[in-house]
Amino acid sequence: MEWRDITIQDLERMISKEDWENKLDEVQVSKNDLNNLVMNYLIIQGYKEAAEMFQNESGTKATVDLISIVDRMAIRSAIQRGDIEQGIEIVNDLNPEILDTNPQLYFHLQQQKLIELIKKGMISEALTFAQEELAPQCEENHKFLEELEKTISLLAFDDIAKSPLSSLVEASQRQKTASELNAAILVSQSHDKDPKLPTILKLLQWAQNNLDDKLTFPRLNINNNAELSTIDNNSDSDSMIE
Amino acid sequence: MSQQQQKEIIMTDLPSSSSSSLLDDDEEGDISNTTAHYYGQFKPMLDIPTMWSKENKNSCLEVSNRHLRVTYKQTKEVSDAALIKANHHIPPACGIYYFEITVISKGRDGYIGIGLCTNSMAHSKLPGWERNSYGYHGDDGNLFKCSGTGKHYGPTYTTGDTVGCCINFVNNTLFFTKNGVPLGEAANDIKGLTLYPCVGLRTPQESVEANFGEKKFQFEISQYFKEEKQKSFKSIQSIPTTNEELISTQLVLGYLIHHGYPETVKLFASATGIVDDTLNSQLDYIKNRQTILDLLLNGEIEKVIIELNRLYPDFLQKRKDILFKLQCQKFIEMIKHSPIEDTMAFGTKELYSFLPEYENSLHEIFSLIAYQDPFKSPVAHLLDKERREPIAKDLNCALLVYSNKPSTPILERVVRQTKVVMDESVKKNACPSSIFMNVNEFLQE
Repeated sequence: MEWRDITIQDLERMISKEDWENKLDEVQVSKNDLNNLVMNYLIIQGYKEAAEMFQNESGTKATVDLISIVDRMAIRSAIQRGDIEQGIEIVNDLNPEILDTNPQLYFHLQQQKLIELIKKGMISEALTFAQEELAPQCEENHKFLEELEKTISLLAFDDIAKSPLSSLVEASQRQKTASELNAAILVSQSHDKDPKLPTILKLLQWAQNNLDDKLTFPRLNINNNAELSTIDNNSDSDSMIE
Repeated sequence: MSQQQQKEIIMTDLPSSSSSSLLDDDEEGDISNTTAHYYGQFKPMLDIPTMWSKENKNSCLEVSNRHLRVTYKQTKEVSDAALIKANHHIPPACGIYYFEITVISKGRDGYIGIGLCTNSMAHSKLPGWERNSYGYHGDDGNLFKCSGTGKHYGPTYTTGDTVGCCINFVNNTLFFTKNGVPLGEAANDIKGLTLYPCVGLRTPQESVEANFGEKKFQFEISQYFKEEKQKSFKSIQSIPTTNEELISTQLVLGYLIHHGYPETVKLFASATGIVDDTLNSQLDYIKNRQTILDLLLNGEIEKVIIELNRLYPDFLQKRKDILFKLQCQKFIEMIKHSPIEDTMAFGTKELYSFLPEYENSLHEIFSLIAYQDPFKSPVAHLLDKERREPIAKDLNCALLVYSNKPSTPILERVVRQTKVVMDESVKKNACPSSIFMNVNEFLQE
């Protein structure tokens, strides 16, 4: 745009880099909040040793009993290596209510167990388990029944890996079950299941997109190496105004 | 004065209307269930309706009680509908707006309507009768949407009842309440309208009093806000993840390095499998930095300067400002512990070299000498241990800049940017749900 085309409205829609920097300096951000943000990340992601050490080195109090991280990690690794029994056992030791109050989660764990039996080729065990343990849970729940039927039909394929249901036997299915369980444990301990930091990153992205419509300001973009680049949308018009 | 007496005096202060007892328990001061409480830090940025307009009304209506009460005064034999608007439109940036009216008197017939309208609405109509207006009427409980014919909506209301109107700019809906109970969605097409709270009265002595958020509401607005806030954050969280996980790990690592937590850095790097060849040299660097800062916080300034010169030979030459701060602090520490002659000698030799540039700060520091007991002098605050902390912070930043690291950790920069963008979004009306995304609250909950 030509300099003479810049209207008062355009100027109101712009903020200079200096003014923006001043706002960034003025906004209140306490070290305590940032430390808590880091602690929250370490805990929810299950970095127990780092969280403990961070507590020592920074004096930031862990918001959760760090011992529970150990349990969560043990449960996650049991599910991810296919040992569902073991996973269920630790959860019930931790808090039997978690599975009692989550029929869907319990069903998914049992379904995972069934998948593991089928993967190992233990056909008769799989059928007995499905009839005795899973079928009763499906009586009142149509969705469970559908999922059970789908899982059982794995038996019909000679080569499961090439079947349309192959995703059920992949590692990602275990991961999915493990995450569902991890989230339920966190909820039972009245914790968020999502760490806050990735939410802040999403919020930043979302909010910058919204504000773009109303204000031209220095956007902050972060690449995968967490390096920053500011895009100063003003630079062109700035130089023209000068 | 006994409680009984006190109560009697209060009672006589109240209007003589039969409904006055209703307003007895208005809990001014308790703002936990008000909109003001939920706008929080954003309130000063929002121009919201706060009272009835002085001009934007039908002449049959009389306004009293700090412009909150509206009463119909008969002027002609036949009484016509009369409307009053609030003093300001509702800015969509407030996300949710709510107001209540209490019917002080139903007057002759109780033809009372509460609702919203645009500025063009005629002052001779009841809310809902015209285009772009919505109203809930007391005599029949009907809902009027841009039409003179109402549809069945809720119960009727009359003297003593409190009815409310809630507008939600996040999902563009509108609902009314009666005595704290929400009555269900009334409209979902309010997007893009500039709306004013309004009431309409039609027969003599009808009188209502509004609460625009200064007092506790009957409806549990706080709960509604909380739910909307959670929805807003959920909607953010449900944006498909791209690379936030990877970036988060890097941000945390960078933060730990910046503030100097070497053991945490080691454990975190090995747990996340981050391979970085420079990590060891960075860890050494942290340790050196930490040693120097600890010396500074212990008041051993001499040693700080020696270490700095040993590790980073040209640092203090380049950063005269930091050297000056350190030398001043050294002088202060000497006042506390060293013979006065030595302190004087140091002051004249080292600090005078900073004249005239730093003259003003020097005067203050030197004045310590003038007092027999500097700890009881007007400048005693200079001797506080806490004075070392900001110097340590400045030194830390200077060292980071010296070694080409950002002076603020990127994690902090991200949080700052997020807060400023959210503030500006509210100010610029960029998105109605911005107001719910209170970053401070989110970090602290």
